[in-house]
Formats: sequence, C-alpha cells, structure tokens
Amino acid sequence: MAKTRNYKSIGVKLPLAYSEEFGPYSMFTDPLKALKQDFKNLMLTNPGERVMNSDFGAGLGHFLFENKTNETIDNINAAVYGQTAKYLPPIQVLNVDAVFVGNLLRIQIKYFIPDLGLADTLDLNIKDNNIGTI
Amino acid sequence: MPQITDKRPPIKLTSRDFSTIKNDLINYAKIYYPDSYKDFNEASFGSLLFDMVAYVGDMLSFYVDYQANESFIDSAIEEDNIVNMAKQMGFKIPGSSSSSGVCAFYVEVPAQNDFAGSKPTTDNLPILKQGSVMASDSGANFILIEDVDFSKEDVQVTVGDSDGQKPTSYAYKAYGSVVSGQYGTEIVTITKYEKFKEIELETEDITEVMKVVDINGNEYYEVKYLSQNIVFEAIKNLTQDSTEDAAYIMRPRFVPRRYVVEHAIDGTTTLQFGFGSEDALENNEFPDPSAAILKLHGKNYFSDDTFDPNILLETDKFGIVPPPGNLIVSYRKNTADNVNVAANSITAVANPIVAYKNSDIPPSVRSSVRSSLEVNNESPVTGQVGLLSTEEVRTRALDAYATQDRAVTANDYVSLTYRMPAKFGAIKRANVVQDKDSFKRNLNIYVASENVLGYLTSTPEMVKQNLKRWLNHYRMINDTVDILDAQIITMGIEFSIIVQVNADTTVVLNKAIKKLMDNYSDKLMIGRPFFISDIFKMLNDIPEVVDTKDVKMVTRSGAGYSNVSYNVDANLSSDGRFLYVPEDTVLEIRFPNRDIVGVAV
Repeated sequence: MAKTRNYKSIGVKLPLAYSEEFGPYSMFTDPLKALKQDFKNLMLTNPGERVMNSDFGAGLGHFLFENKTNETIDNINAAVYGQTAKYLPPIQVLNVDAVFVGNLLRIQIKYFIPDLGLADTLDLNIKDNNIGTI
Repeated sequence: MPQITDKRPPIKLTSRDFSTIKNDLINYAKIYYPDSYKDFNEASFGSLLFDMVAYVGDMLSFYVDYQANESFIDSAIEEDNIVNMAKQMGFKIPGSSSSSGVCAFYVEVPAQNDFAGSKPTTDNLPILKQGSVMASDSGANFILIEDVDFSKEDVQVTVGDSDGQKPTSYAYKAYGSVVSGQYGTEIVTITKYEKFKEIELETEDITEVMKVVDINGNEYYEVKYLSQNIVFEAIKNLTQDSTEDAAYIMRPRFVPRRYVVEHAIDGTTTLQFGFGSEDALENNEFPDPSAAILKLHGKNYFSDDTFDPNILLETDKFGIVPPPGNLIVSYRKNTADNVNVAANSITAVANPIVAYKNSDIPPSVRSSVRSSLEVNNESPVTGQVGLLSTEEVRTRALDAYATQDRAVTANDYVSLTYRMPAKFGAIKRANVVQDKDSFKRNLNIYVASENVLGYLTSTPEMVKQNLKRWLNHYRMINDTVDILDAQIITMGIEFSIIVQVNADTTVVLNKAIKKLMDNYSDKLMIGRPFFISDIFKMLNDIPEVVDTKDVKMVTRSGAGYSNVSYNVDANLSSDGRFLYVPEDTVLEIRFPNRDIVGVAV
C-alpha cells in the first residue's frame, strides 16, 4: 500500500520508476526540475514524432549530421528559441551555445523561469544515437 | 428519503475529435486530480499521454463516422460501397456505352433491259442484313442493327446511270440504324457444376453480351434478375399489311437457361448463372406446395410449418447452370476510345451482309450490287458517354429505386409506352387517363402513331398488341389498362396582323407564318389545351408587327384531313385564350404550309 503523500506532485519523472511515496511512479515535486525535463523533451523530440502535432519538437539530434557551419549554429538557435516560445512559454531562453567537438554536438542552453525567478542550464551532448544527459 | 445523486463525472459525448477529447481529458485531470498532476504544458510527459489517448479516441470516432457514412448511399464515398448499395437498390451498372444513329445506305441496281429501260429492276433489290459492319474515317466500327430493305415503299430512288438515251441503272437510298462496336467471341471452359456460377470475361469494356451458348448448343438469355424467367422475343412480322407498322411482333418467351450480366466500373464484365441443373429442367413443374414445407422431425408435436425456400432453388426458378464444357460468349465492344462521330464520317461498308428475296439473281448482278453499296451518316452518330462516376451511380441508383421498373403512376405508363423498342412499332403520342366510369379504376391509354408521311394516325392493331404485351410485363397486378386510339383533329390557324407603316407586308406575313410553322412542326400532346394566347405572343414578338388583330382556330376536314368533328366555339375558354382539348383528343396542324394562313394590313 502506497504511503500517504506529503507533497503535491507536479509531473511524472522520467525514466519511469516505481515509487512507494507517490504511488506507482515517482513524480516531480520541484517545478524547476519538472520544467527542465519538459524542456529536454521539447529539445530532443524530432518534428513529426508527436502524434497529431507534427510541428512539435526542436529535433536537435538531427543537427549532429549537418555541416559544421555558422548556418547550422543559427538553425539550432532558431529551433531552440522558436520551439520554446511556442510550446514552453514558462521558459525564457537566455543563451544557446552550440559547438561541434569531433563527432559530438554539445549544446548548452541557459534559461530563466520568470514565474519562479530562477535560472538554470540545460546541457545536451549529442553523439550518434546517444543523447547526452543533463 | 435522501435523493440519490449521480456522482459520475460529466463526460461530453459530443467531444469526438482530437482537440476536444484532449481538452476534456485535461479538464478532467485538473478537476479530479488537482494534487496528483499539474504539468499540462505541451512538452510534458503527461501531455504526451493525453495526446495518445485523444488520438485513439479520434481514430475510433472517425471510423464510427466512416462506417455510418458508408452504410448509406447518400453519404458513402468509397466506390465499391456505392456500387454495392446501388445493386441492392436494383440499379445495374451499364456496360461501356456506345454511340448510335442513322445512316443512309445507297445501292445501284441495273435497270430492266427492255426497250424503254425506264423501270428499275425491283427483283434485284437487296436487303442489307442486320450485322453488316460499317467503318468511320477514324477507324471506329459500326454495326447495322436492323435489316435495310431497299424494296420498301419509302426508299428513295433516282437514276443512277444512263447511256444517253435511257437509264441503265437506278440508285436507291434507304436508312438504317447503326450502333458502334464490333462483335467478338470468348470461349470459357466450365469444369464442373457450380451453383450460381460466376464467369468473369477476360475482354474488357464490353458494351453488350449478345449471345451465350453452351456445349450442347443451348442458348442462354440475359435477364435483369435470375428470378425473371420471361424475356421478350422479337419475331419478324411477316404479315404483309402490317409490316410497315411493326417490323417485329413481341412474344414473351420462357427462358429456363438464363444469366445476369454485371458490368463493373473498372470495365470488367461478369456473367452469373442460376442454381438448377439440367435434371431440374426435365421436371419443369413448380414444386408441389406440400413438398415445400419444412418438416420438423423428431418431435411429436408441431409448432409451425415453415416454407422452405431451398425447395425452390432445386428447381429451375433461378435458371440453369451451364453443364461442364465450353461456353461460347458472343459480345459487342467498341473498337475506338471515342465512337461519337461527326456527320459524313461513316463512309465505308466494311463487311456487308447482303440477301435477296429473289434467289435467281445472277452472280454478276449480285457482285455489282454488292460493290455498289455505299454508306453515309447524314447526322452525327453520338451517344457514347464516359464511364459512370460514383456520383452518377449514386443518383441513378436512387432513381432506379424510386421507379422499381414498375408502372405505378400515370407518368410511368406514359414513359413505358414511349420506351417500347422501336422495332415493335412506335407510339408518337400517348396519354394515360383514369377511366372515371369504371368501378375497377381502369386506366385508358390513348395512343397515336405517325405514318410515313409524318402525319398522326391511329396506332395499328399489331403495334397495340405489342404495346399490350410490353405494358403487361410492368403493370401492377390490380391495374386494368385499355389501349385506345386517340381522336385526331386537324386544325388550321387564321390570323390577321397590323404591320408597321414602312414594313413590307408580304415579308412580314411570310415571317409570321414561318414562325408559327416552326413552332407547330412538332406534334401536339394528347389532351393538352391549345393556347391561342401563345400565337398572339409569338406574332407580337415579331419586331415589324404592331399588333395582332385576330387569331382564329378552325377545323380542317376533307381529303387528307381527319374526319373527326370538333366544335371550336364550344371548346373555347370564356376569355378566348385557349381551346379545351378532351383527354382522348390530340390536335394536329397537318399541313402547316397551307393550314396556317394570315392577313397583314
């Protein structure tokens, strides 16, 4: 039997994990962490992947195979800013730093959450099919 | 007593698409799980799950709608479904359409070799037989669908050639109907007896299946439905005095060997045969009703006796299936994509079938007559239309269902009367009236035909017999129908007009007469009032006419006219605008060039 919850949960924590505290799955109680996971989902979802919403997703994984040019960097910036403004308005992107390091695409996104008054950074290391963690 | 309240959460059953289902789910979660889940932005994992559930809901709703729409012919979209429902409603998809029209045929026949040489040798006149093949300039073939007899009275004749002193040959011109296409044959091998045998022909775009013959030489007849066991057969009318009226006599024929033809929209043609075997045909009796009762065995009581329809299937009531062996299917199909041709395009007699009434004609004459055959279509041969669209199938199916190929209304009878195939005799005008004096609600069909000169005349007895057999097939069982001759009254128009001062009265008068002649060149309808006011309007519409002073309708009688009396004054409406015409009467302006007279001042 699950324990009585002490916190108001916000969203499901990925990867799914059994939690006695929250019921079947562990949940976020910290809005900053919940938003960060949403932000990562948005950045790594490929356009067309989401059912009935083919525009959703920045698809940053695809940029790994683009030419290492300033134009690609500009496109990464556009994808991050555009998708965040459209699908995740609570987050305000401050800076996107994308660099190719060998076969690795390293993207660092600094963002601010006005409602919480907090800033954070999302680091993505994209290499082949292995998407880097935060 | 405490009131029991329904605590089930409200579900909007009208939310059936993705966005509304998703919104409802989000609202539901916000209301019932406010503390468990709060992350509703698009990028959250929960939102992904909402999307998936809403997607499934949307798909289910779509297919429910789809199935519902496809269940009705009005809303169905898929071609196969529309065609299947159309079949259920009694509509049959026609085969590849063909064009048809009339061609003029010419033949040159030697004159009598006498001193005067002034007479054509009528013994040498040929009959161009049905099935002769013509060709157009574009390569399309056309088949003659009726015998063209050059010895008939209405054939035009003129001098063909002369030696300077007397004619040596005469040219004859006769008309015959042609239809596009050419005949073909397909042999189908049947390996075993099979109930309701279906045969899909390899040849595509078949216009018409002409003949089906089995290995024993038995002919099978096309019917609309397998339960239809009667077809109308055309027997050549050999009665001398009525050949001109009806070239063929209609005779119902019992056809145990029969099939239905189904043309698919994709151009394929399928024949379906019935259920019975040859053995059933030998015992060609309707089953004893007592044998058709489904017996309940193993019980010592009866609750009900049920009619067993399988007993009927074992008879020939759905037709006979051809025995194993070769089945020869003759058909007609178009030889070109477009078989509509302009006037003067059918110019070649590709394969004439020539016969003579006189068998003693020398081969040399036969050969010269045959080689002299020429053809020309004086008017366009049209009628081919493209394949039916699904929308056309939908519309025609609804029409077919409404009429059911039965005579129910008065208009159905009129329509059927006009639809009788022309070779059984043509009805020019028909009117159906309920016989008010009859206790049986008898219907009177008044008919009139047209003679070779184009005048209305009483319908010949043979044609009325054919019409009777034709209508009998369609009429309701409790309808009694009398086919009667319409009274034909020949009329004339006398008018006087005032023309403009500077206009030529003769020219204006001729113009007025021509206008009326053009308007009344078509035969009037039986029982339809004659509107004199129309004549006033037509005359006043002529720019040079200031006013129409008077229009008078007069009866015409005497030689060449009808002898039926008609009192114009008694039948004139009180305001003088139209003439009452009895339901069994038709007015005719037989000779417009002399029956329409006028005065211009």
